[in-house]
Amino acid sequence: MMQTIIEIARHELITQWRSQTLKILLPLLLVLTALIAFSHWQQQQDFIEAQTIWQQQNDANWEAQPDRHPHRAAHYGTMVFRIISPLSFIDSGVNPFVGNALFLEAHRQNSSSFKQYVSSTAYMGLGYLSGATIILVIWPLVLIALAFNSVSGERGHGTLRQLVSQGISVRQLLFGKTLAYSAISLIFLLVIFSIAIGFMLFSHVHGSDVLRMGLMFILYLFYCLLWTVTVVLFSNWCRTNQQSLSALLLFWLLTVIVMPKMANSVAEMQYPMPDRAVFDIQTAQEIAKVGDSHNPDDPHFTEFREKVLAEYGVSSVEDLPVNWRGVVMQEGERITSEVFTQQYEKLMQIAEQQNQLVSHVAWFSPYLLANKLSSIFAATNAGSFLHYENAAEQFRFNFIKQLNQMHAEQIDHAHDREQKVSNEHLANLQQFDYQSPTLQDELNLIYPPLLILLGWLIIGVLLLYRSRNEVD
Amino acid sequence: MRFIQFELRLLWQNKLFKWLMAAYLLAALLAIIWGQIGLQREYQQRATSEANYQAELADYKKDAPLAPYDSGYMSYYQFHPVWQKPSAWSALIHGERSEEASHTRVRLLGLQSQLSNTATGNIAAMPIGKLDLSFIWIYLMPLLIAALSLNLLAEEKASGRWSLLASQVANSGLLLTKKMLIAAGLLAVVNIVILLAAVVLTDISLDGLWWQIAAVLLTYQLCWFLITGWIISLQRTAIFNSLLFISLWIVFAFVLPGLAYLYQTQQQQPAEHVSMIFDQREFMHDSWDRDQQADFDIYLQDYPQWQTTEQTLQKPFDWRWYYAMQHMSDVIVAEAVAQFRASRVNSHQIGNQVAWLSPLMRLQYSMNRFADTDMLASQAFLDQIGDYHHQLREYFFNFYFLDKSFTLDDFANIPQFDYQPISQNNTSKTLINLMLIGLFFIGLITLQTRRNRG
Repeated sequence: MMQTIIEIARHELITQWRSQTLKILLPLLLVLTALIAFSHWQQQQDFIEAQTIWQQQNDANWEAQPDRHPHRAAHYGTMVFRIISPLSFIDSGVNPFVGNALFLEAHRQNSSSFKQYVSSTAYMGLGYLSGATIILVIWPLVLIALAFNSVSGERGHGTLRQLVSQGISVRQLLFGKTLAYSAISLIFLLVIFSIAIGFMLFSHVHGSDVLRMGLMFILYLFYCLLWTVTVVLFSNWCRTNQQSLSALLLFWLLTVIVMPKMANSVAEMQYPMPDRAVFDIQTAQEIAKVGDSHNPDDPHFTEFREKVLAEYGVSSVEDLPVNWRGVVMQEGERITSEVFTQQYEKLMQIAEQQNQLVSHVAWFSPYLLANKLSSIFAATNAGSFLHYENAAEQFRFNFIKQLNQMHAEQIDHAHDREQKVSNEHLANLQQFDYQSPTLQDELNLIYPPLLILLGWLIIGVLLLYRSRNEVD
Repeated sequence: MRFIQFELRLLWQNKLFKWLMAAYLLAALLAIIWGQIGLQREYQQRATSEANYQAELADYKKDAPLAPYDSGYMSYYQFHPVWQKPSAWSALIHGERSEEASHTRVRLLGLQSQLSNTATGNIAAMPIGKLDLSFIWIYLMPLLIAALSLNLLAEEKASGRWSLLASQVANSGLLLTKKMLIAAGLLAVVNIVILLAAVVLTDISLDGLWWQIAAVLLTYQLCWFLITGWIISLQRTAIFNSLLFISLWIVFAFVLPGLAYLYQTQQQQPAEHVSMIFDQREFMHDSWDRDQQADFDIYLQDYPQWQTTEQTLQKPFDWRWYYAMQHMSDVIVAEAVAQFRASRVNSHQIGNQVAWLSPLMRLQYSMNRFADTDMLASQAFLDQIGDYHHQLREYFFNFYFLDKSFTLDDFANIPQFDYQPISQNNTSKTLINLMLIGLFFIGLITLQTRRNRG
């Protein structure tokens, strides 16, 4: 049985080797992918270097700043730069769409962000030109072009009847063909990944990156296998070559292009988000509801004053051992940060609802599943960006908190504005030390799409297995 | 006439044809409705921000007239909404609109650091993007055209009708052309129906712009029919036709736009405009440690319109100095801002140049311009915010520098932002581009027909 399958695969490979399609398409695609991978790798290295330099300059500026009033320093603020994953050059994920530099200052959250490039991504309607897109979007088309007639052709030419009469079952034939096209996909992926590994050798790589890259390779291989099975099955089901080709192209168009985009549109219809202005307004309104630190008669801050005075056992703010302004500033910052985080979480919940809806559609679109997994493995998914943003907000809050503490403890309430703290104190503040999530942290994200993909593959193989010996 | 009737009946009996047309029409109508809902939401958001703005101003009005020191406070806290008001067509042609915030708020502080606000949005959805009518027109219509006409000849041959038909008419190429023209005509009718539906379902009116868009769309359609015609004229198998067509589509829709983007980004340093924030921040905060009076004197020299003000600053704090320094922080980064602007426009121009090679890219650039949803529109918005900020400064500085109190009447005169779309369209450029590509393929068809005969 096995030997027959291998023999069929070998025969199919030889036929393909002689065909024009493969000879033109494979080298063309390899060159294109290698070129793209190279320029993306180069841009990625430039970006990482630039981000690192900006970060160093920011940190140096912070340390070199003159003696300042702590609240002045809190508005001077600091910048943090998101260093993109070293695997971005294969799958850029959300990176080209988001800002990677955040300006952090008192009272304001994520107030500025800058994209890597100012160019518009809107003209790449079929997907961002990257290695992952070529593998996930274009390679299935190549598989269709190569294999749509792999069975229907044999049937049309009557060679299928001959094969069956020689004792080869249709099932063996289908497995043999699947094996052959999987081998072609494997060669394609091997070449791409050996080039990618070459690039990786020139950059600073962690062990986890190697693991991630390995997972990407396996994922792509599975994805190609799933497509190969699909193409062979369609080719077996369809009466004519033309039918097979049309059906496959339609299937590709629907599952890779139309369904994913439509899912996003429906999700956005269903769960609309406030825009930037309204989000800012809502946040400001919620903060005002809790308390306004600038209003002397504000109930929250009156109550807060009583509490602090009781805590220290004094009767007026002037008698406090700490600077009342600094204490108020910190209370205000606490409210702002808490409310902002709440509001931002609400926004992210809407996004999550949208994503949930899309993930229902993804049951029927292997592309959406693989695309999601690929960006998780490459650490370029939306989650990795939000994780960074979150950590930056945490850092911002603690950073400002320390400055407010200085304000409370080292600045006298009388003549508050004219005083400063030594820059040594400022320089001693901790810097942002970001730890990106590990694969283990994201296992709950990885399992569902992975299991659905595996499910489809099993169904596909079962269908191959149960194919009947029809020759006409 | 009889021929047309016969062909129409033939098409009507063709299930695939009917279903594809119906699916196309349905998808287009859905996209129009979704787009319009999205557009209405944008208006609602704007109404929310306006209501909030008026409520905030009303709070200050209670305390009017405001002394300069208090109205200085007001300017520190009061945001003024700015909105890149969407055109009616943006419901159908989303373009680059979601890439930058199109509705935000600015106040009298240094402007540049306020402009880098990102749009809210689901970033997980960004790499895949959304489906709007322009996507259906630009990317999917060519495939529909292929499905309708690519295999006309091959099918006729397979059904055995071709030899019969060809023997009865003198010019079989003409017959084929007529058949294609009927398919093209029907699609044109459907496209006109879609455009008319847009007039009914959205705020789009049947004006000159409508006709221009219709003309461009139909020329684009013609362009793809010519490409299909060339492929048919090669007289190869149906399968060869399909594969060649899909390869061309991929080159026009994926490879060329992708390479154009890559080339655009190669012209830039990554995140080069970050330096803008650095410089602005250093300047702004250093100014607190410098001699404030000296800085203020320089400011008055540079801006003589304010020289009549009291020249000595109040201690310990003076809003005039504060806003002057905020303004100067924009002035010192003006060059970097201009550079940033040039980078964006240049990037847009490069894409526009590459678009000469791809009918698909050309239509997209052209559509985004029609709907005022491209980079130029977003840049015009930024420029106009700059002008608006200037107006705000001129207006409020009057009170601070000339020591006037801010009365109830003065609230009514606060400048309002009103986005003005750029009216420039590229209709003729687009038509010429599409016709050139069309002519190129007509040339190929003629050559091929000659070769076929010879």
